Amino acid sequence: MNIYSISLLLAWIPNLLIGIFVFSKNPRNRLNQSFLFLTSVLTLWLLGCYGETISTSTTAALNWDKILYTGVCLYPLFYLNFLSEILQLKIDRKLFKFVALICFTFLLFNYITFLRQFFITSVEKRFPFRFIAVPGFLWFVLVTFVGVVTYYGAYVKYRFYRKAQGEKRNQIKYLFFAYTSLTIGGNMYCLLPLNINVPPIDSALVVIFSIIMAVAILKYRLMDIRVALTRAGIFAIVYTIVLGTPLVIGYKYNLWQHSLWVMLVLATVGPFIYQYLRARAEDLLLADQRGYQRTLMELSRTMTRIRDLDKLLKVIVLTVVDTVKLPYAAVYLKDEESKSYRLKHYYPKKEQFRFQEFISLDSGLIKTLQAEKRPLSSEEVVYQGQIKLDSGLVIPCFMEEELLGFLALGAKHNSQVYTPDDVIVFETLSYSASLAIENCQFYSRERQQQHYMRVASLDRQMASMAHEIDNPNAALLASLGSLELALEDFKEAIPQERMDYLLTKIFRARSNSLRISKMISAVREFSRASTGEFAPLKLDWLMEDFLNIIHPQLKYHGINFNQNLPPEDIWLRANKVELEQVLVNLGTNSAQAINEVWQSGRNTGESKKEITLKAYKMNANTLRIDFSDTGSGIKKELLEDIFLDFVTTKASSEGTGLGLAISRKIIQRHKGKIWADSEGENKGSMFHIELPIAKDITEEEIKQAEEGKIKKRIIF
Amino acid sequence: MVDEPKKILVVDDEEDIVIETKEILERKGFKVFTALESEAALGVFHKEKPQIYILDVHMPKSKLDGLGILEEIRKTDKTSYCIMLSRVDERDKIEAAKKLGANRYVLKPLDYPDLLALISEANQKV
Repeated sequence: MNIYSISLLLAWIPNLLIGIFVFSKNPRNRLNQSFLFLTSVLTLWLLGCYGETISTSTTAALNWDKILYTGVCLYPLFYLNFLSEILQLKIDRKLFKFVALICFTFLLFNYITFLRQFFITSVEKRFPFRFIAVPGFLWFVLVTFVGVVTYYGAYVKYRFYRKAQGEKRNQIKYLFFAYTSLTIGGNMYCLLPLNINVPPIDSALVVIFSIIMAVAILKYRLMDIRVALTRAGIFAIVYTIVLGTPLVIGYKYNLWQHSLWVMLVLATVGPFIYQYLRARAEDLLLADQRGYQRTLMELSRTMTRIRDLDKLLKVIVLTVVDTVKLPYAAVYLKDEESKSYRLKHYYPKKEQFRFQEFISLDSGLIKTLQAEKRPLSSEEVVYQGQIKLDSGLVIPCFMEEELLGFLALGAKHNSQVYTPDDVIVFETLSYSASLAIENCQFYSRERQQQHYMRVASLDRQMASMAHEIDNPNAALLASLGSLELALEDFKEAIPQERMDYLLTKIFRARSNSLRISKMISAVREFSRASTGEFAPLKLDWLMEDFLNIIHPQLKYHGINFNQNLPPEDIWLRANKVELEQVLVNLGTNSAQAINEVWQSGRNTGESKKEITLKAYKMNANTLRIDFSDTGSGIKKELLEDIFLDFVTTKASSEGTGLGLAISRKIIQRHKGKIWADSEGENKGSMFHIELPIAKDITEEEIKQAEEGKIKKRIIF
Repeated sequence: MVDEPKKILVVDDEEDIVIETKEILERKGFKVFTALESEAALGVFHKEKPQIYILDVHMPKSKLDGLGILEEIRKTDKTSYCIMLSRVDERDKIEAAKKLGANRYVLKPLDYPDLLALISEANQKV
């Protein structure tokens, strides 16, 4: 045993173990399999060398040499195989066959005695420590061949590297570094048969190759290789000093006691020096990254203060894109209504094609996120074409066990990789985002609750107000009646024409009182909670009561109301109270929009305060209602948003922003559609409603409905 | 023999309605009693035994509402003519009134021609 055999022993055993270890992690993966083959081949090479250093006879050395060159001969084949697996490249099958043919030919030359002399003439104890092959003519051919294959591989890697992004790119950097180490080791070995002595570090370089590759295969998310190398370098330097200084002191000056003390001191301060240097070096290397990490941490702290969900999501997406300099990002949230994860915000607009609007709950992406509960690189998730991130990152937001949503990020600029540090920052961001989202949702539910309570109390007030008006109105009517009758007492005293005049006035007062009573009963019916039931409803009745409710408001503001109804009876199967609510809501909105224009003096000379309701049959099945006004109009980009909860274009005191959202829900419940149109600001707006016409209403039902509708004053 | 004028009892918690109705009906030659709540109404019922009643269904401040008064009346008097007045057409109240033996159930407000028509109909029946 000498230092060479020990170094080789320390090489081939770990090398083999690494191969087996990687294989055992995922035996069915072809990459892991191919790595085991490659390390086995390298192990044969190292084992052969080891054998040659411990052989005492030429015969034994010859057998070890055959083992050694088995490894060397097979190396090009398994090298290519491994390369194609790790880069996921299709290498031409013909090339494979050709390489295999050459490799096996060399094997024949290695094993068959009379052929071997052309390959390796003999083995001889060249250096004092080992036997070595004496190269024949074919040996040079083999070495050239191995070299060509190796440099071909390097070329392939380089080409691939230029196209690769993110995680893959980083993996290839590791590959490069590992292969550089292996190539140096291999070249050094080749010097031995040429009678050039080299220090026994070639075997160590082979093991370094295997270790680096094992890391690159097993750890999906690799450290930035610059960081990894810096750390390794600093570690090596610091510990060379820590261990080397005492050795030098002890060995050179023979002061072993002192050296022990020095070692104790150095070993104590060593870790601190290492940490300090490491931090400084990484600060320099990762200045960019540290910068945006700080911004994101800052965002994590501040975002729980945002209460508006849409604003929050916008802030998250924009800040991330801006600070990390991403090409695009998007955020998805769980949407109970559509039973899916819904795209809530993305940036920039042109990247929309990457993000599918709805991602169903049982899709691979969602399932993976739920199972892993950590940020995943896009190579790790199952795509199914739902989101297209090139080497990006998907960051889930969890609240307890529930996946609230997730952030999808594109690759970093310059195809840099997301480092483990990044992932930690994004994880923190995702915790805060989960809290902030939950916060917003709670706040919005609370607001909705408050709104409903307000509406409910308004309803109660309306009902009691109707009651309060009804009574004096009934008294007024009675007084008018009694007055009219009393006039008979003055028949003689008052001339006929004066009497007629008085009777006309009283009649007018009576009919107005009756009108008040009609309006009150419409309002009372309107404010009654909807039963949600659908019943046959004639369009005329809906319009009549709608007008009764809206008329005072329009008259007060001096707004003309034009109505254009179809001549024939149109029957719907609908909930009258709910449809009234929709129309009244549109009417109120229009009145406010018109007021806004007139109050601010933006109206032009010829424009009128006008609301027009046009109802007509689109076809036999569909009723269309066009509701237009001459008010302030709606910005184009808001046409769809106004139907969302809490979106309002009015001053905050006027609306809750729920009116149109509820209207849309009501219309959808009636299997209809509602949408808005506007020429632009100050050009008025138009709302369109389509409702299905009920054609299956029987005579019997019509009779019943009409009986129920005619407000017989005398019920029995 | 000249017929005694028919007696009518008007019960409503709105005083003006009671006063005006009384005036209108007296003008047509009826003897009209009024009450603003159930105690007074039942007092008149026991003392005067009117033939016609006009009862407001909703009287939140009264001990009994119109239906309660109707029930009391019908315990001893099956022949008088009872007109119920209500602001809203609530199905359960209408059904209850029918069961208790009301003759008419009418929605408020009542314009005087309707009132007179109702009363003349009642007058013929009692």
